[in-house]
Amino acid sequence: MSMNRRQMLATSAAALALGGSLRPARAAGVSAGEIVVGTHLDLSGPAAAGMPALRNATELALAQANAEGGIHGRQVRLIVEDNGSQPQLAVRAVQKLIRSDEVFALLNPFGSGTNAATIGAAVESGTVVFGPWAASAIMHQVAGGSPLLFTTVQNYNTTTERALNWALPEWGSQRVGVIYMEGPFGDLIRAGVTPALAAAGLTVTEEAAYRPGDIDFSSQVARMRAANVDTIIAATITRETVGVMAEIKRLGWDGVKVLTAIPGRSTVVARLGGADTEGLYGVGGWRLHGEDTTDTGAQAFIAAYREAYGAVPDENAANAYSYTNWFLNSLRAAGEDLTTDSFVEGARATSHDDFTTYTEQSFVENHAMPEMVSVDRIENGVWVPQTEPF
Amino acid sequence: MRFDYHTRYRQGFALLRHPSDWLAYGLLAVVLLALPFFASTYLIGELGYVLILCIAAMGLMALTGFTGQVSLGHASFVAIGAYAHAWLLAQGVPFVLALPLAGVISAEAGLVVGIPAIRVSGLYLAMVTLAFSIVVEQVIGMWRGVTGGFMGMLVETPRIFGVSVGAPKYFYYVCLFVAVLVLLALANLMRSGIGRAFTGVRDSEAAAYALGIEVKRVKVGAFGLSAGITGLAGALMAHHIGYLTPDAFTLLLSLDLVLMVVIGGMGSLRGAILGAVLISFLPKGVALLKSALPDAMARQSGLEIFVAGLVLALFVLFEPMGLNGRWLKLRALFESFPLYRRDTFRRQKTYMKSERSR
Repeated sequence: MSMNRRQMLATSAAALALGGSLRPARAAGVSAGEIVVGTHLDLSGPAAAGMPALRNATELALAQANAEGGIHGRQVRLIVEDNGSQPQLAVRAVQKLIRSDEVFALLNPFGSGTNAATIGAAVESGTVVFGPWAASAIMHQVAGGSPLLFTTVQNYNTTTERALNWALPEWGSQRVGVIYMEGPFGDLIRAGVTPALAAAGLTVTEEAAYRPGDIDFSSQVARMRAANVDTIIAATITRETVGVMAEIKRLGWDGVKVLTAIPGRSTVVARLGGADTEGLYGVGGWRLHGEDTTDTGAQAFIAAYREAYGAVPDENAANAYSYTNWFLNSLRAAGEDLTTDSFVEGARATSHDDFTTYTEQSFVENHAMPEMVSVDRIENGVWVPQTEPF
Repeated sequence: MRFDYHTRYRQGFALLRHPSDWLAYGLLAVVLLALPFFASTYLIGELGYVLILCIAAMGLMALTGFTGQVSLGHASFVAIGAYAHAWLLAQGVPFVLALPLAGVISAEAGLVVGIPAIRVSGLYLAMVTLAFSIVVEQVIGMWRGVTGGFMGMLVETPRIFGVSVGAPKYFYYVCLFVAVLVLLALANLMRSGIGRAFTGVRDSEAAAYALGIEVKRVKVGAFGLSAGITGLAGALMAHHIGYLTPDAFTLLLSLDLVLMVVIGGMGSLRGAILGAVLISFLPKGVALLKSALPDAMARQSGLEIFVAGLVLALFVLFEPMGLNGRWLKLRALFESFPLYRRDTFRRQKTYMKSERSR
């Protein structure tokens, strides 16, 4: 068949257009045999002590997937950078990951300020951000509703509200006090407390703030005592939760119920607090497993982690492992032709259920839903669920 | 050996005294200007950030190195500059106006802190500045209407006369321009009467006072100048971060700035720049070191802090004059090669040896 020049031009233009449309939207970090993934953690700043667990668990999940032959034949490689909990350093780390290493995705990067400073630029450059350890609602706001950001951390305001909607009528609370940390964390928890109290026809009786790093809570607890509250909502993390409970026990103040939000409901609190934290209530966002767990998934994870790193994994390690597996499943669902578009479709089509989750989760508007909670109580040094997850 | 034969009085003040200086700095300028055409986007982004730190370090050098006043709170001036700039941009003020205005606002804050500096010095001044930085951090967190509180605020893309300069390549030139401007301004200031007054106050307040220098005014002025320059760095830093939260401007940043000035070498602008370059590339060096170490050691957390501390300790022990001091010695060695005397740089006189004789 002979072709004239015009036909040839038309054919080649069509071929070009076809090629153009077939070419992936962006497949940086994806090659025939490898998928490069980056993360930034606080390796040198105030949260450095908790990072090895996150890093180890993430690498464990990737190593397990790689040992099984990878994702559609591709090995997943993780590049870890330091953000020192400083936004400036995080910006540099992410610029390196995107521009120099050309990663496909940022997986479980750590910190609120650090992620807020970097997520916008990351999604703008076409990099997927999966499961940042940061306040999810704010991250979506910063990313401008980008489809490339997937969040897995529960919103502290809605989960606190949910738990209080159950607890306040159950306990017959009339006078409610709030002890909160100044900063985004305390603001989020209070944003959940206010509507829950309004729904119960109550207002906050007394509020007391503390600063990050405070170790003495006598004045805050004294104010609660003076206001004669019957329920204290503690927007506290590990050490502060123990500090508040120790002060209450020191005063011999019985009959007050203390409820701490998701970060305070940690096995570390029960272990550090000992007798002081007996009877403390906490809002649970995921299932906890000790070494004596009966869950086979958790047993397998603990055994594998111990074999690889010679230590028992904590709950943060379990969460990192769990969400990394969700990421890997999303990669699998994206199919062999991996692009950011196919990943987004894959992640939205994937649901997630393992030994840490209360129920099967999937992405609704790119956030892991449903956010179920349970209210737990420390009994004999162990968190015991008081409710079914709801 | 090289000897200066001056035929005119002003020659003694020239910034670049020898043809070789013109050649060296000219080459440096050409390389810096041409770099964006060769280097990767990543490297250009990094260099832009290093230039911002250079500006901040020169700001602190004007205070600590030239006037002898300590500050552990310079991160707060970076913060004030950054927030003022971002707020002005959000109000629709153009970038070319917002940048100097941010510097002016920061300078005014510096004047306020400078007032207690009239009465206290040394450790006490360090405490005052530290307290100031804590107050600023709190105010930023509480003043939600302007700063967005702890939730943070978005910084708009920089535009100069309607053209976006947000891309790393263009932003690098903006940073380079401001850095060169600050460098020239400070270098000129230091060879003027004001600069000599700064040095006089640093070396002996009593002597400076006896010579008719208004010590109080000089001290407060130095604070304002230093804060203004650091505020400029903050305004550029705002674009580097893109989303401002109070945790970008903590004590860690203040300490980094002090490290730059001390390791770079007190009392010299070259020192401030060398210090900023060293401190900002230290984490990269540690990352390289880590890849060379066995896995078990490389995975330990805290290696960065250890190396940073080690570098500082080694400098204080072996080169108290900092990188600049080492550079001057190396240069003297090359220039006077066979005749170099080891005692050339033995210190004849030390200032600030005793608080009593100030």
